[in-house]
Amino acid sequence: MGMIDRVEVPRKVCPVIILADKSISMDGLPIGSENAAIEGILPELASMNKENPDAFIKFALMEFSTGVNWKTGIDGLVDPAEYKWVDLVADGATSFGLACKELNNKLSVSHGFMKQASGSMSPVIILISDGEPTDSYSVALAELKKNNWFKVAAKIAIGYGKANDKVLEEFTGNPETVIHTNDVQELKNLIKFVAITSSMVVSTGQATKSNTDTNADPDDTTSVVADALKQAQAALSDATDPGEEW
Amino acid sequence: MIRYRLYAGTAPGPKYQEKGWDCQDCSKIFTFDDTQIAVLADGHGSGNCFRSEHGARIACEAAIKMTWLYRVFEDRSKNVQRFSDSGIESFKYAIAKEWRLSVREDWIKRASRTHKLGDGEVRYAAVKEKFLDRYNSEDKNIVERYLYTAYGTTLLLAVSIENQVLLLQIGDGTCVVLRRDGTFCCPIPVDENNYLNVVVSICEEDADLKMRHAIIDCDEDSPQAPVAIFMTSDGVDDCFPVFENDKHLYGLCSVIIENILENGFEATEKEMTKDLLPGLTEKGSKDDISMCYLVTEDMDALREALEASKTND
Repeated sequence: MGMIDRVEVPRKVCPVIILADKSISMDGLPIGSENAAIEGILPELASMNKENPDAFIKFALMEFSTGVNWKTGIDGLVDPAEYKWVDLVADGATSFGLACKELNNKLSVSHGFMKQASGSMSPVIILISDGEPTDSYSVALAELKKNNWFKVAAKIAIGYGKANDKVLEEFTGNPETVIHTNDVQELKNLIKFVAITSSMVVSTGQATKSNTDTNADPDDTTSVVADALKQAQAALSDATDPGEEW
Repeated sequence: MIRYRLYAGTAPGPKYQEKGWDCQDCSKIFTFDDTQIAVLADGHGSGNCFRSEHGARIACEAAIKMTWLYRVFEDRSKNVQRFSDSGIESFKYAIAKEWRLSVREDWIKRASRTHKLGDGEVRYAAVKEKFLDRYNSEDKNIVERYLYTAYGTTLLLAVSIENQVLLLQIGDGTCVVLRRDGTFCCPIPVDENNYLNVVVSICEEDADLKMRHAIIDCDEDSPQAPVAIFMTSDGVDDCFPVFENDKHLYGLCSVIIENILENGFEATEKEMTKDLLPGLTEKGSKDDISMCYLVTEDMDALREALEASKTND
């Protein structure tokens, strides 16, 4: 047996992290769309894992309202094929600052979710929100922006209804990765489209500006995903089925 | 004094080969008198650093040349070869300065050979507009300021003298040491400014101040004496998860040492160049990868250290 056979080289892990607003204003159709979309993403991510021998997508879901909770558990990222979906229930306020603080806490190798991450694989972070933050978020967001994993992540935000797109833009650092809709059906399709497109771009190494370029601008991953989202508009149209009920 | 066997190997990464880019890693070994040198450099993959493969080669050559010239940085006052703190700081400055001088020479030489910047250079097409303007500026001060970026690279150097080893680094990559007592460690201080694909570079103006170093005493009887020193570019590191990355590298080093003990240096080195390094990049990072080692020629000491390391686990 040669040396190469004695060295275990694990598949790279591509972390996909969703921050889902479940404040009371999401009650009714919006939270239903959010639940259906995120639940629907999981088999798609699992399927991508079967097709890509180089990277393995792992998933974490944070729900935030008055407080924050990792629906997928606090121990780390989970295999989308193995996660048993439980619906989000709308209640409380929109503690966006608290969500930023908790995300910052988990974007860590030593005590967070990045333990399985690989040196050249950027995380995908998707924020879904429908309203103004109800807490003072500036300090927490500023701290989050200093986090190296956050810097290199592909950051996308989906605003629904009265969401403050300026705040979402502050989060992503790029207006092109803030997508807004007032249509509840479109919300569902957007979540699915954004999650799948961005996960595919990053996990297959298409975010080449960042994933292959040493000394790349850390914001480039988000830019590359922005380009991919633009190019995939046709796919978005195809994915939209007005007659589909959830 | 510990006498080491030296090795340096580099394999091109598939992700750059697919683009038709040359390998941007470089690794070399060199010996004179009682001094043994292993060095590797990993040229930046950014499109703006379109001559980083030359920058990496120049960095390795500058490090070797300055080690040769800077024999005076060893403090011989006690009739024993030792590195001095002031000497090391001057040495860092000398490497950075020599790199800049050689890069500048290379820039001028290439400019005199072609009508237009980038002629015949595949990677020039990947340079972003901002840097194209800088590289082609009519203002010589702007060109002078930015031309070094085109050659940007990391550097990782080991210099073994009579009683000590100096390890010196700028940018990412890892240096792993196996001590006689069987403990593995990474002695060079970590620089938090290297994360994912963003690295500190020798092309920065104050590069000498950003170089980190460690000195290891090599008294053969000391349990802390290094029996093996491995240096890897980030292409190797990125084959493994970030968490406890060093432990994955210790495992890789153990496999290589086991092979040396079973099959000898020559066969191991041949296999590393032909199979291990190309296989690692193919299975793992897809990046250009380099590895150097200094491994004691005392097989008993090496075997004892490896066995002790397994006990430590």
